[in-house]
Amino acid sequence: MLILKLIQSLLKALNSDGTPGQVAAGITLGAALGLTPLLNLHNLLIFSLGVILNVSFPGVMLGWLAFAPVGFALDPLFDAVGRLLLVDATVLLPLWTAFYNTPVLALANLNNTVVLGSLISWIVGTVPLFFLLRWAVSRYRATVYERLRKTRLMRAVRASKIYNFYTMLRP
Amino acid sequence: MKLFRWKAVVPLIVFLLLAGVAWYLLVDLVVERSVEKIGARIVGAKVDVERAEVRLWDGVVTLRGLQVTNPDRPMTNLVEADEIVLNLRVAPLLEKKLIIDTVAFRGVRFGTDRTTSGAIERSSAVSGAIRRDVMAWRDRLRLPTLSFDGLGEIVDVAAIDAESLRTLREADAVRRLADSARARWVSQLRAIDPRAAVDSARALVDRLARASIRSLGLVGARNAVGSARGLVRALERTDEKLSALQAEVRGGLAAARQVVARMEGARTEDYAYARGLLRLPSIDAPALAPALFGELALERVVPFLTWLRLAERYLPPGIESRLRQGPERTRMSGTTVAFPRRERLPGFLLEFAEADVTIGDSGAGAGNYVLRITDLASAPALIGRPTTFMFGRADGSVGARTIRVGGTFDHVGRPIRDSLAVLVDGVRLPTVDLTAIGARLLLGEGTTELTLVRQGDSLDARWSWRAARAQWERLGESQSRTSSRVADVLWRLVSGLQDVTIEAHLSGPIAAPRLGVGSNVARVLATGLRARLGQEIRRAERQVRARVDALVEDRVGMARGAVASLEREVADRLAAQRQEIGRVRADLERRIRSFGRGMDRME
Repeated sequence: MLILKLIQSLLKALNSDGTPGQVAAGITLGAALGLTPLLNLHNLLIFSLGVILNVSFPGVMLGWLAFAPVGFALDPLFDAVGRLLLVDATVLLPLWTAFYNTPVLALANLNNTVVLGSLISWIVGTVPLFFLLRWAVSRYRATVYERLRKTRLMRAVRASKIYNFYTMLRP
Repeated sequence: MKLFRWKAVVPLIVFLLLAGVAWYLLVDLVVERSVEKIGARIVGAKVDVERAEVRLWDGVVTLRGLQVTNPDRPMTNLVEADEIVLNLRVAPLLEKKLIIDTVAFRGVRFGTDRTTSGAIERSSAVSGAIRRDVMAWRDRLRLPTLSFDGLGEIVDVAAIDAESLRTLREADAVRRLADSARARWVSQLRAIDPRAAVDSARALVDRLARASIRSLGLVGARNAVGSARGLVRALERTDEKLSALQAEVRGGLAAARQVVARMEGARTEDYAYARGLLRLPSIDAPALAPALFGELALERVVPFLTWLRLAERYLPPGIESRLRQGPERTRMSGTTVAFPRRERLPGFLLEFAEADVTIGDSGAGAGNYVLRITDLASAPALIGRPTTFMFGRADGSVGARTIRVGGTFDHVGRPIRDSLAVLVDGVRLPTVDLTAIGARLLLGEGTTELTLVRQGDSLDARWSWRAARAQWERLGESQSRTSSRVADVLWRLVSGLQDVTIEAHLSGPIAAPRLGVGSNVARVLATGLRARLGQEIRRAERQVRARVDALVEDRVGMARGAVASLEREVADRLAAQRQEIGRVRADLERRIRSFGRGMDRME
């Protein structure tokens, strides 16, 4: 009961605001959870940012779910990127050696090709992804959502409990 | 719009605390699974831990019910321990480094039975590759077979198949090598084309010999000398090219001669192979010993080699980056790279372990032992000290009187240096069925000794088994592979032999060492057989040798001829052409000097 209450309050706090920018930022943060191997230290940080920052938390969840299969599909690419950075780029060797021998940072598994490759790919893609998503959410609200709202199916759905969940995905 | 959602801070802290509590509750399970997973990766077979208890703040980890499967016998444990208590340093854990100060063992047993198989479907890339490599070496070894069945029978030499003889394969290789080298060198020689330069030079020499400064005039003589100098330079360039080709030809011919030597050596192997095919025994002691005890030696040497190579892999020298397969997960594992740094801790270090090991059953190993290990590290170069280990009996109740194991793995730098000395006295040695001679050898109580020295890739190891009161049992006819007449002879030779020594010797590169096996049993058999069956065996051997010679002689002759003709056609031709160039160049230079002196006088 306590945990349910906690989640409820958390969700309430998260849905307090929701501009297209907030939703896009949420999905972009969530993309990190999906693109990079989940059980790693950086994802704890990203999850915490998703909670603390004034972004759409349902957006974070959506980003995670949507990008998880993409992450699986792109693993060979991430592996190649990670190998390039960790093994081939000898100029970066002092940096990785410092990371590897620094307390706490060493726990981040940044010396794994897939972890580093996926994290760097996400970091590189963050800004374009954010702007693309912000534009997409605006277009969605202006066009698709308005039309969808007036359909008979949507009216039926709005009357149902599923709609309560759906509202979490919109501001 | 506010950047932070302050209302979410408290729920987040509570969430993180709950996650921390969950981790704390699950850490025992995580450690248990990690030990099992990493252990299996190193050993190449299942490692089971019944329970792990972690007291993180005290730096104490207790493992209960540890079972390490013997990878070569999945229904047996290599070692089993009731309890292992590890005292480790907590701070290095934040660097993902495991630094163990002390280890204490309780209830250690070796070679215990397992209730379930400890084989794993897919061993780790490292241990799997090493194991496959060692097994491939084992399969490549051709242990001679020993059979006396062929004695007294008509030797059917037609059964020797020409295509299975290595000499013929080597002979074909020699011919292929000679043909391709000839084609290459002849085309290179054609491209150099020394004939044109030599002919022009010869023509000029003749012209200058008939002419004088007076007949040519001063200008004509100067032009002739200029042409001669140009031709000398052209000849020098041609000679340089020929010299380079000659060096290549010399190297190629030396390689071809090596292959010819290998072909000659293969014939000895083919004699042995053909003799084995016709079940004719070799009665030389060096061939008898591996035939009798080769399998016994291999059975012990294969795991030993595997462990030695695993030690090399997991205790690598140097401090360069190291690549290993990433963690197993649903996502791709990737590659994990270790970046050791000088004056920092390695990923794993067992600084000092001293354990009193009590083996409390009534088996051969029962008693109290002392185990001492120092400086076992995943990157020995970082600590700058070699790993040393010692295992010995403190006092015994039954079984072996003396067990002494001591060694050093010096992987601090290259070349790596390993040394190992094992002495077990008063241990029960194995019983060996020697079906080829129709007897069973019960070695009984004795001494086994192993000494090893490794420097870089070169290995020198000796393993011996000595029994002073060995016993012999005669095998029944169904178990024996030898006719009763020969078996009688063999039995009379060995049955009185009580003092038995068997020795295995590994030497050469660690990836594919040579295996030598010796035994006084083989020497006794060789002497006895030579006296009693020698004439019969020698007659059959002569027939086999003659057949092998007849089968290989033509192609061997052709191969030798190919190399000889290569020498004549290319090497001799090259030498002759260089000589001719030298001669014509000397003539030209003489003419240039003579004309030069004449022109000086006229000027």
